[in-house]
Amino acid sequence: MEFIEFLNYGFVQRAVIAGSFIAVLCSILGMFLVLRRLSLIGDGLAHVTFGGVALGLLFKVYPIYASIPVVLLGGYGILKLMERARLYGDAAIGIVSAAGIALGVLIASIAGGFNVDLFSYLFGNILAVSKEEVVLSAVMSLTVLVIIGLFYHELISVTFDEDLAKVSGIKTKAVNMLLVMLTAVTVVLAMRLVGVMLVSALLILPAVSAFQAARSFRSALMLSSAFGVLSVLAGIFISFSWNLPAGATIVLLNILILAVVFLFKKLRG
Amino acid sequence: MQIISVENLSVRYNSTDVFSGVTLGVNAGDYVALAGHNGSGKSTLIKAMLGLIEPAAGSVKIFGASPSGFINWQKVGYIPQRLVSFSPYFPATVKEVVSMGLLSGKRFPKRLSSGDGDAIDRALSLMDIAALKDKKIGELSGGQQQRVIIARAIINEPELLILDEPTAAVDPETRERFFGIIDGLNKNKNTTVILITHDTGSAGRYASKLLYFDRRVVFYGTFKDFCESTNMAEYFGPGSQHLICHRHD
Repeated sequence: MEFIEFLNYGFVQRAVIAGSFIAVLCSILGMFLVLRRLSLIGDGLAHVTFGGVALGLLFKVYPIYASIPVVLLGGYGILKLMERARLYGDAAIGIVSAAGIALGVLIASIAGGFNVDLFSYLFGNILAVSKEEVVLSAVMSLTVLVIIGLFYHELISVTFDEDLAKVSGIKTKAVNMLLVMLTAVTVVLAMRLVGVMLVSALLILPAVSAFQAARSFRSALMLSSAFGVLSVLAGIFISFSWNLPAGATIVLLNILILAVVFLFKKLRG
Repeated sequence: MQIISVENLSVRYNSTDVFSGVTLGVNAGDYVALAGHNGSGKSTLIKAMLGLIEPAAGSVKIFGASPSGFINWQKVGYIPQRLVSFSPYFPATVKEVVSMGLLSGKRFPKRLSSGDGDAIDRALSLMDIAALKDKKIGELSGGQQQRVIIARAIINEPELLILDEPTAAVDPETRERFFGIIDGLNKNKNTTVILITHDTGSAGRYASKLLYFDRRVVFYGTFKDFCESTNMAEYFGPGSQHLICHRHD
Protein backbone atom coordinates (compact mmCIF):
# COMPACT_ATOMS: atom_id res chain seq x y z
CA MET A 1 0.00 0.00 0.00
CA GLU A 2 1.24 3.48 -0.89
CA PHE A 3 1.99 5.77 2.05
CA ILE A 4 -0.22 8.57 0.61
CA GLU A 5 -3.14 6.18 0.05
CA PHE A 6 -2.68 4.94 3.59
CA LEU A 7 -3.01 8.52 4.88
CA ASN A 8 -6.55 8.77 3.47
CA TYR A 9 -7.93 6.76 6.35
CA GLY A 10 -9.32 8.93 9.14
CA PHE A 11 -8.00 6.73 11.93
CA VAL A 12 -4.53 6.81 10.35
CA GLN A 13 -4.63 10.62 10.14
CA ARG A 14 -5.57 10.76 13.82
CA ALA A 15 -2.79 8.35 14.73
CA VAL A 16 -0.23 10.34 12.70
CA ILE A 17 -1.20 13.69 14.25
CA ALA A 18 -1.43 12.47 17.86
CA GLY A 19 1.66 10.28 17.44
CA SER A 20 3.81 13.07 16.01
CA PHE A 21 2.94 15.48 18.80
CA ILE A 22 3.61 12.91 21.52
CA ALA A 23 6.78 11.66 19.84
CA VAL A 24 8.28 15.18 19.81
CA LEU A 25 7.27 15.69 23.42
CA CYS A 26 8.73 12.38 24.63
CA SER A 27 11.93 12.85 22.62
CA ILE A 28 12.64 16.30 24.07
CA LEU A 29 11.74 15.51 27.67
CA GLY A 30 13.61 12.23 27.42
CA MET A 31 16.87 14.10 26.76
CA PHE A 32 16.68 15.86 30.11
CA LEU A 33 15.62 12.67 31.91
CA VAL A 34 18.38 10.48 30.45
CA LEU A 35 21.06 13.08 31.21
CA ARG A 36 19.72 13.43 34.78
CA ARG A 37 19.91 9.62 35.16
CA LEU A 38 16.15 9.58 35.60
CA SER A 39 15.49 7.44 32.52
CA LEU A 40 13.31 4.99 34.39
CA ILE A 41 11.02 7.66 35.75
CA GLY A 42 8.90 7.14 32.63
CA ASP A 43 8.60 3.47 33.49
CA GLY A 44 7.75 4.21 37.13
CA LEU A 45 5.15 6.83 36.27
CA ALA A 46 3.68 4.57 33.60
CA HIS A 47 3.08 1.97 36.29
CA VAL A 48 1.37 4.65 38.37
CA THR A 49 -0.73 5.41 35.29
CA PHE A 50 -1.90 1.81 35.43
CA GLY A 51 -3.29 2.54 38.90
CA GLY A 52 -4.91 5.73 37.57
CA VAL A 53 -6.52 3.91 34.64
CA ALA A 54 -7.91 1.27 36.99
CA LEU A 55 -9.33 4.02 39.22
CA GLY A 56 -10.90 5.71 36.19
CA LEU A 57 -12.47 2.47 34.98
CA LEU A 58 -13.75 1.72 38.48
CA PHE A 59 -15.41 5.11 38.90
CA LYS A 60 -16.44 5.38 35.23
CA VAL A 61 -14.22 8.43 34.67
CA TYR A 62 -12.36 8.73 31.35
CA PRO A 63 -9.09 6.91 32.23
CA ILE A 64 -6.76 9.62 30.86
CA TYR A 65 -8.45 12.27 33.00
CA ALA A 66 -8.35 10.00 36.04
CA SER A 67 -4.68 9.18 35.46
CA ILE A 68 -3.35 12.75 35.25
CA PRO A 69 -3.82 13.69 38.96
CA VAL A 70 -2.73 10.22 40.10
CA VAL A 71 0.47 10.38 38.04
CA LEU A 72 1.20 13.97 39.11
CA LEU A 73 0.91 12.73 42.69
CA GLY A 74 3.24 9.82 41.87
CA GLY A 75 5.81 12.24 40.38
CA TYR A 76 5.58 14.44 43.46
CA GLY A 77 6.10 11.33 45.61
CA ILE A 78 9.25 10.36 43.70
CA LEU A 79 10.75 13.83 44.15
CA LYS A 80 9.92 14.02 47.82
CA LEU A 81 11.37 10.56 48.47
CA MET A 82 14.59 11.75 46.80
CA GLU A 83 14.72 15.07 48.65
CA ARG A 84 13.35 14.25 52.09
CA ALA A 85 14.25 10.58 52.54
CA ARG A 86 17.49 11.13 50.56
CA LEU A 87 16.81 8.05 48.46
CA TYR A 88 18.57 7.55 45.14
CA GLY A 89 16.35 8.20 42.12
CA ASP A 90 16.10 4.52 41.16
CA ALA A 91 14.93 3.50 44.63
CA ALA A 92 12.35 6.30 44.80
CA ILE A 93 11.06 5.41 41.32
CA GLY A 94 10.93 1.72 42.28
CA ILE A 95 8.84 2.42 45.39
CA VAL A 96 6.31 4.67 43.64
CA SER A 97 6.17 2.35 40.63
CA ALA A 98 5.42 -0.67 42.83
CA ALA A 99 2.74 1.29 44.69
CA GLY A 100 1.10 2.26 41.36
CA ILE A 101 1.04 -1.29 40.02
CA ALA A 102 -0.19 -2.67 43.34
CA LEU A 103 -2.99 -0.08 43.39
CA GLY A 104 -4.00 -1.00 39.84
CA VAL A 105 -4.02 -4.75 40.50
CA LEU A 106 -5.95 -4.29 43.75
CA ILE A 107 -8.62 -2.11 42.12
CA ALA A 108 -8.91 -4.46 39.13
CA SER A 109 -9.36 -7.37 41.53
CA ILE A 110 -12.00 -5.56 43.60
CA ALA A 111 -13.88 -4.59 40.44
CA GLY A 112 -13.69 -8.13 39.08
CA GLY A 113 -11.24 -7.24 36.31
CA PHE A 114 -11.66 -4.83 33.41
CA ASN A 115 -10.44 -7.26 30.75
CA VAL A 116 -10.19 -5.59 27.34
CA ASP A 117 -10.25 -1.96 28.56
CA LEU A 118 -7.33 -2.33 30.93
CA PHE A 119 -5.42 -4.47 28.41
CA SER A 120 -5.68 -1.73 25.76
CA TYR A 121 -4.07 0.76 28.15
CA LEU A 122 -1.33 -1.70 29.09
CA PHE A 123 -0.19 -2.16 25.49
CA GLY A 124 -1.65 0.91 23.79
CA ASN A 125 -3.41 1.17 20.45
CA ILE A 126 -2.59 4.29 18.53
CA LEU A 127 -4.76 3.23 15.62
CA ALA A 128 -7.79 3.45 17.91
CA VAL A 129 -7.16 7.05 18.97
CA SER A 130 -10.36 9.13 18.95
CA LYS A 131 -10.82 12.71 17.69
CA GLU A 132 -11.08 13.94 21.28
CA GLU A 133 -7.80 12.22 22.12
CA VAL A 134 -6.12 13.87 19.11
CA VAL A 135 -7.27 17.30 20.31
CA LEU A 136 -6.23 16.51 23.88
CA SER A 137 -2.80 15.25 22.73
CA ALA A 138 -2.23 18.31 20.53
CA VAL A 139 -3.31 20.84 23.17
CA MET A 140 -1.40 19.17 26.01
CA SER A 141 1.70 18.60 23.86
CA LEU A 142 1.77 22.22 22.71
CA THR A 143 1.30 23.41 26.29
CA VAL A 144 4.14 21.24 27.55
CA LEU A 145 6.38 22.27 24.63
CA VAL A 146 5.75 25.97 25.32
CA ILE A 147 6.63 25.43 29.00
CA ILE A 148 9.83 23.61 27.99
CA GLY A 149 10.62 26.51 25.64
CA LEU A 150 10.11 29.08 28.40
CA PHE A 151 12.33 27.18 30.85
CA TYR A 152 14.76 25.82 28.24
CA HIS A 153 17.90 27.42 29.69
CA GLU A 154 16.95 26.56 33.28
CA LEU A 155 16.36 22.93 32.29
CA ILE A 156 19.71 22.67 30.48
CA SER A 157 21.54 24.37 33.32
CA VAL A 158 20.09 22.10 36.03
CA THR A 159 20.70 19.07 33.83
CA PHE A 160 24.34 20.04 33.35
CA ASP A 161 25.08 20.47 37.05
CA GLU A 162 22.68 21.22 39.87
CA ASP A 163 25.17 23.06 42.10
CA LEU A 164 26.34 25.34 39.29
CA ALA A 165 22.71 26.02 38.39
CA LYS A 166 21.93 26.98 42.00
CA VAL A 167 24.86 29.42 42.05
CA SER A 168 23.43 30.91 38.84
CA GLY A 169 20.30 31.78 40.84
CA ILE A 170 18.16 29.03 39.34
CA LYS A 171 15.55 27.54 41.69
CA THR A 172 16.65 23.98 41.10
CA LYS A 173 13.96 22.35 43.25
CA ALA A 174 11.26 24.13 41.26
CA VAL A 175 12.90 23.12 37.96
CA ASN A 176 13.12 19.49 39.12
CA MET A 177 9.46 19.59 40.08
CA LEU A 178 8.58 21.09 36.70
CA LEU A 179 10.51 18.37 34.86
CA VAL A 180 8.80 15.56 36.79
CA MET A 181 5.33 17.09 36.41
CA LEU A 182 5.81 17.57 32.65
CA THR A 183 6.99 13.97 32.44
CA ALA A 184 3.92 12.81 34.34
CA VAL A 185 1.57 14.52 31.87
CA THR A 186 3.59 13.21 28.92
CA VAL A 187 3.51 9.64 30.20
CA VAL A 188 -0.28 9.76 30.45
CA LEU A 189 -0.54 11.10 26.89
CA ALA A 190 1.93 8.54 25.53
CA MET A 191 0.05 5.70 27.17
CA ARG A 192 -2.50 5.56 24.32
CA LEU A 193 0.36 5.42 21.83
CA VAL A 194 2.54 2.59 23.07
CA GLY A 195 0.84 1.55 26.30
CA VAL A 196 1.91 1.59 29.91
CA MET A 197 4.45 -1.16 29.33
CA LEU A 198 6.46 0.65 26.65
CA VAL A 199 6.17 4.36 27.50
CA SER A 200 9.69 4.63 28.89
CA ALA A 201 11.11 3.38 25.58
CA LEU A 202 9.67 6.42 23.82
CA LEU A 203 11.31 8.67 26.40
CA ILE A 204 14.71 6.97 26.40
CA LEU A 205 15.50 5.61 22.94
CA PRO A 206 15.22 8.70 20.67
CA ALA A 207 17.29 10.70 23.18
CA VAL A 208 20.02 8.07 23.45
CA SER A 209 20.19 7.77 19.64
CA ALA A 210 20.46 11.56 19.34
CA PHE A 211 23.33 11.72 21.86
CA GLN A 212 25.38 9.44 19.62
CA ALA A 213 25.01 11.62 16.54
CA ALA A 214 24.48 15.20 17.75
CA ARG A 215 27.19 17.85 17.71
CA SER A 216 25.43 20.25 20.10
CA PHE A 217 22.51 20.36 22.53
CA ARG A 218 20.31 22.09 19.96
CA SER A 219 21.11 19.52 17.27
CA ALA A 220 20.45 16.74 19.82
CA LEU A 221 16.99 18.19 20.46
CA MET A 222 16.23 18.23 16.74
CA LEU A 223 17.65 14.76 16.09
CA SER A 224 15.85 13.27 19.07
CA SER A 225 12.54 14.72 17.84
CA ALA A 226 13.23 13.51 14.29
CA PHE A 227 14.03 9.97 15.47
CA GLY A 228 10.93 9.91 17.65
CA VAL A 229 8.58 11.11 14.88
CA LEU A 230 10.21 8.82 12.28
CA SER A 231 9.74 5.77 14.50
CA VAL A 232 6.10 6.62 15.21
CA LEU A 233 5.17 7.30 11.56
CA ALA A 234 7.01 4.25 10.26
CA GLY A 235 5.63 2.21 13.15
CA ILE A 236 2.05 3.18 12.31
CA PHE A 237 2.58 2.37 8.62
CA ILE A 238 4.27 -1.00 9.26
CA SER A 239 1.88 -2.10 11.97
CA PHE A 240 -1.14 -1.28 9.80
CA SER A 241 0.32 -2.88 6.67
CA TRP A 242 1.47 -6.08 8.37
CA ASN A 243 -1.17 -6.24 11.11
CA LEU A 244 1.35 -5.91 13.93
CA PRO A 245 0.88 -4.28 17.36
CA ALA A 246 1.71 -0.58 16.89
CA GLY A 247 3.33 0.08 20.28
CA ALA A 248 5.79 -2.80 20.04
CA THR A 249 6.58 -1.93 16.40
CA ILE A 250 7.37 1.69 17.32
CA VAL A 251 9.68 0.59 20.14
CA LEU A 252 11.52 -1.94 17.97
CA LEU A 253 11.98 0.68 15.25
CA ASN A 254 13.55 2.97 17.85
CA ILE A 255 15.97 0.19 18.78
CA LEU A 256 16.76 -0.26 15.08
CA ILE A 257 17.47 3.49 14.76
CA LEU A 258 19.78 3.30 17.77
CA ALA A 259 21.63 0.32 16.26
CA VAL A 260 22.05 2.12 12.93
CA VAL A 261 23.31 5.30 14.62
CA PHE A 262 25.79 3.24 16.71
CA LEU A 263 27.00 1.44 13.60
CA PHE A 264 27.33 4.69 11.66
CA LYS A 265 29.30 6.23 14.54
CA LYS A 266 31.63 3.20 14.70
CA LEU A 267 32.24 3.24 10.94
CA ARG A 268 32.89 6.98 10.98
CA GLY A 269 35.40 6.42 13.78
CA MET B 1 32.70 46.27 53.06
CA GLN B 2 32.10 42.62 53.94
CA ILE B 3 31.22 40.47 50.94
CA ILE B 4 30.67 37.38 53.04
CA SER B 5 29.95 37.18 56.73
CA VAL B 6 29.58 33.92 58.58
CA GLU B 7 28.16 33.97 62.10
CA ASN B 8 28.33 31.02 64.46
CA LEU B 9 27.80 28.59 61.55
CA SER B 10 27.27 24.89 62.17
CA VAL B 11 26.84 22.18 59.54
CA ARG B 12 25.76 18.65 60.35
CA TYR B 13 25.64 15.52 58.19
CA ASN B 14 23.55 12.61 59.45
CA SER B 15 23.55 14.05 62.99
CA THR B 16 27.37 14.37 63.03
CA ASP B 17 28.88 17.86 63.20
CA VAL B 18 31.15 18.69 60.27
CA PHE B 19 31.95 21.92 62.07
CA SER B 20 30.20 24.20 64.53
CA GLY B 21 30.38 27.78 65.73
CA VAL B 22 32.41 29.13 62.80
CA THR B 23 32.53 32.92 62.54
CA LEU B 24 34.48 34.84 59.90
CA GLY B 25 34.19 37.63 57.36
CA VAL B 26 35.61 38.21 53.89
CA ASN B 27 36.10 41.81 52.78
CA ALA B 28 35.77 43.23 49.29
CA GLY B 29 39.04 42.77 47.42
CA ASP B 30 40.37 40.05 49.70
CA TYR B 31 42.13 37.09 48.11
CA VAL B 32 41.75 34.30 50.65
CA ALA B 33 43.54 30.98 50.34
CA LEU B 34 41.42 28.43 52.23
CA ALA B 35 43.65 25.54 53.28
CA GLY B 36 43.32 22.48 55.49
CA HIS B 37 43.80 18.74 55.25
CA ASN B 38 41.35 16.37 53.54
CA GLY B 39 38.09 16.09 55.44
CA SER B 40 38.63 19.32 57.35
CA GLY B 41 35.34 20.77 56.04
CA LYS B 42 36.71 23.35 53.54
CA SER B 43 34.36 22.42 50.69
CA THR B 44 31.44 22.15 53.11
CA LEU B 45 32.22 25.63 54.41
CA ILE B 46 32.08 27.23 50.96
CA LYS B 47 29.00 25.23 50.00
CA ALA B 48 27.30 26.59 53.10
CA MET B 49 28.48 30.10 52.16
CA LEU B 50 26.81 29.66 48.75
CA GLY B 51 23.60 28.17 50.15
CA LEU B 52 24.26 24.78 48.56
CA ILE B 53 24.09 23.21 52.03
CA GLU B 54 21.53 24.10 54.64
CA PRO B 55 23.31 24.97 57.92
CA ALA B 56 22.20 23.34 61.18
CA ALA B 57 22.70 26.64 63.02
CA GLY B 58 24.11 30.11 62.50
CA SER B 59 23.87 32.38 59.49
CA VAL B 60 25.62 33.34 56.27
CA LYS B 61 25.32 36.68 54.52
CA ILE B 62 26.48 37.07 50.94
CA PHE B 63 26.54 40.69 49.75
CA GLY B 64 24.41 41.40 52.82
CA ALA B 65 21.67 38.87 52.03
CA SER B 66 21.05 35.29 53.06
CA PRO B 67 21.87 32.87 50.22
CA SER B 68 18.19 31.88 49.89
CA GLY B 69 17.14 35.50 49.48
CA PHE B 70 20.11 36.60 47.36
CA ILE B 71 19.23 37.42 43.75
CA ASN B 72 22.31 39.03 42.20
CA TRP B 73 24.04 35.76 41.40
CA GLN B 74 25.79 37.32 38.41
CA LYS B 75 28.10 38.85 41.04
CA VAL B 76 29.25 35.35 42.01
CA GLY B 77 31.41 32.89 40.12
CA TYR B 78 31.82 29.36 41.46
CA ILE B 79 34.17 26.63 40.31
CA PRO B 80 33.52 23.32 42.07
CA GLN B 81 36.12 20.65 42.66
CA ARG B 82 34.12 18.37 40.38
CA LEU B 83 30.77 18.52 38.69
CA VAL B 84 28.22 16.72 40.84
CA SER B 85 25.66 15.53 38.31
CA PHE B 86 27.43 16.04 34.97
CA SER B 87 26.89 13.24 32.44
CA PRO B 88 29.79 12.49 30.08
CA TYR B 89 27.17 12.09 27.32
CA PHE B 90 25.99 15.67 27.77
CA PRO B 91 25.79 16.79 24.14
CA ALA B 92 26.40 20.52 24.68
CA THR B 93 29.28 22.29 22.98
CA VAL B 94 31.91 24.24 24.89
CA LYS B 95 30.24 27.45 23.70
CA GLU B 96 26.84 26.31 24.98
CA VAL B 97 28.30 25.43 28.40
CA VAL B 98 30.16 28.72 28.77
CA SER B 99 27.04 30.66 27.75
CA MET B 100 25.18 29.12 30.73
CA GLY B 101 27.27 31.43 32.93
CA LEU B 102 25.43 34.41 31.46
CA LEU B 103 22.01 33.21 32.59
CA SER B 104 22.40 34.41 36.17
CA GLY B 105 22.14 38.04 35.04
CA LYS B 106 19.02 37.51 32.96
CA ARG B 107 15.32 37.75 33.76
CA PHE B 108 12.63 35.22 32.87
CA PRO B 109 12.31 34.02 30.18
CA LYS B 110 16.10 33.77 30.03
CA ARG B 111 17.40 34.28 26.50
CA LEU B 112 20.87 34.91 25.11
CA SER B 113 21.19 38.16 23.17
CA SER B 114 23.36 38.90 20.15
CA GLY B 115 25.78 40.87 22.32
CA ASP B 116 26.45 37.82 24.49
CA GLY B 117 28.59 36.33 21.71
CA ASP B 118 31.40 38.78 22.47
CA ALA B 119 31.41 37.91 26.18
CA ILE B 120 31.51 34.21 25.32
CA ASP B 121 34.41 34.70 22.87
CA ARG B 122 36.29 36.78 25.45
CA ALA B 123 35.95 34.13 28.16
CA LEU B 124 36.98 31.38 25.74
CA SER B 125 40.05 33.33 24.63
CA LEU B 126 41.01 34.11 28.21
CA MET B 127 41.11 30.40 29.02
CA ASP B 128 42.75 29.61 25.66
CA ILE B 129 39.93 27.34 24.54
CA ALA B 130 38.56 29.37 21.62
CA ALA B 131 39.60 26.59 19.24
CA LEU B 132 37.47 24.10 21.21
CA LYS B 133 34.26 26.13 21.18
CA ASP B 134 32.33 23.80 18.84
CA LYS B 135 33.59 20.60 20.48
CA LYS B 136 31.27 18.62 22.75
CA ILE B 137 32.19 19.00 26.41
CA GLY B 138 32.16 15.22 26.91
CA GLU B 139 34.89 14.81 24.27
CA LEU B 140 37.38 16.97 26.17
CA SER B 141 40.05 15.88 28.66
CA GLY B 142 39.53 16.57 32.38
CA GLY B 143 41.85 19.59 32.23
CA GLN B 144 40.09 21.05 29.19
CA GLN B 145 36.70 20.53 30.84
CA GLN B 146 37.96 22.39 33.92
CA ARG B 147 39.04 25.31 31.73
CA VAL B 148 35.52 25.40 30.29
CA ILE B 149 34.04 25.56 33.81
CA ILE B 150 36.46 28.34 34.72
CA ALA B 151 35.46 30.29 31.58
CA ARG B 152 31.81 29.78 32.55
CA ALA B 153 32.51 31.16 36.04
CA ILE B 154 34.40 34.28 34.94
CA ILE B 155 32.23 35.23 31.95
CA ASN B 156 30.23 37.76 34.02
CA GLU B 157 33.40 39.25 35.53
CA PRO B 158 31.99 38.43 38.98
CA GLU B 159 32.71 40.48 42.09
CA LEU B 160 33.19 37.30 44.10
CA LEU B 161 34.94 34.18 42.85
CA ILE B 162 34.82 30.99 44.91
CA LEU B 163 37.08 28.25 43.67
CA ASP B 164 37.34 24.73 45.06
CA GLU B 165 40.74 23.34 44.02
CA PRO B 166 40.18 24.60 40.49
CA THR B 167 43.51 23.51 39.05
CA ALA B 168 43.66 19.97 40.43
CA ALA B 169 43.17 18.48 36.95
CA VAL B 170 45.04 20.98 34.78
CA ASP B 171 48.62 21.04 33.53
CA PRO B 172 51.23 23.36 35.14
CA GLU B 173 51.17 25.81 32.23
CA THR B 174 47.39 26.24 32.44
CA ARG B 175 47.63 26.46 36.23
CA GLU B 176 50.06 29.38 36.01
CA ARG B 177 47.93 31.06 33.37
CA PHE B 178 44.85 30.55 35.53
CA PHE B 179 46.44 31.98 38.68
CA GLY B 180 47.62 34.93 36.59
CA ILE B 181 44.04 35.59 35.40
CA ILE B 182 42.59 35.34 38.90
CA ASP B 183 45.36 37.58 40.25
CA GLY B 184 44.60 40.10 37.50
CA LEU B 185 40.87 40.09 38.35
CA ASN B 186 41.71 40.57 42.04
CA LYS B 187 44.23 43.38 41.51
CA ASN B 188 42.67 45.22 38.56
CA LYS B 189 38.94 44.72 39.18
CA ASN B 190 39.00 44.28 42.95
CA THR B 191 37.36 40.85 42.59
CA THR B 192 37.12 39.09 45.93
CA VAL B 193 38.57 35.58 45.70
CA ILE B 194 38.21 32.57 47.99
CA LEU B 195 40.42 29.75 46.78
CA ILE B 196 40.48 26.29 48.32
CA THR B 197 43.91 24.87 47.80
CA HIS B 198 46.35 22.30 49.13
CA ASP B 199 49.14 24.20 47.43
CA THR B 200 49.65 26.86 50.11
CA GLY B 201 53.04 27.69 48.67
CA SER B 202 51.67 28.70 45.24
CA ALA B 203 48.58 30.36 46.69
CA GLY B 204 50.78 32.49 48.91
CA ARG B 205 52.24 34.13 45.82
CA TYR B 206 48.85 35.67 45.04
CA ALA B 207 46.56 35.39 48.05
CA SER B 208 46.51 38.22 50.57
CA LYS B 209 45.13 36.08 53.40
CA LEU B 210 45.33 32.53 54.63
CA LEU B 211 42.36 30.81 56.23
CA TYR B 212 43.50 27.53 57.75
CA PHE B 213 40.46 25.41 58.50
CA ASP B 214 40.23 22.19 60.47
CA ARG B 215 36.57 21.89 61.48
CA ARG B 216 37.16 25.32 63.01
CA VAL B 217 39.13 28.42 62.08
CA VAL B 218 42.70 27.54 63.08
CA PHE B 219 44.18 30.67 61.53
CA TYR B 220 42.76 33.58 59.56
CA GLY B 221 44.97 36.49 58.66
CA THR B 222 47.77 37.61 56.37
CA PHE B 223 50.57 35.27 55.36
CA LYS B 224 52.96 37.60 57.17
CA ASP B 225 51.01 37.21 60.43
CA PHE B 226 50.86 33.47 59.87
CA CYS B 227 54.62 33.24 59.44
CA GLU B 228 55.27 35.33 62.51
CA SER B 229 52.77 33.50 64.70
CA THR B 230 54.29 31.47 67.48
CA ASN B 231 50.91 29.79 67.96
CA MET B 232 51.06 28.50 64.39
CA ALA B 233 54.62 27.35 64.91
CA GLU B 234 53.32 25.29 67.82
CA TYR B 235 50.25 24.08 65.90
CA PHE B 236 52.04 23.01 62.73
CA GLY B 237 55.52 22.50 64.09
CA PRO B 238 58.25 24.90 62.98
CA GLY B 239 59.16 22.77 59.94
CA SER B 240 55.71 22.89 58.36
CA GLN B 241 55.21 26.56 59.08
CA HIS B 242 58.58 27.32 57.57
CA LEU B 243 57.71 25.29 54.48
CA ILE B 244 54.62 27.43 53.79
CA CYS B 245 56.41 30.68 54.62
CA HIS B 246 59.61 29.83 52.76
CA ARG B 247 57.71 29.00 49.58
CA HIS B 248 55.63 32.12 50.03
CA ASP B 249 58.76 34.27 50.23
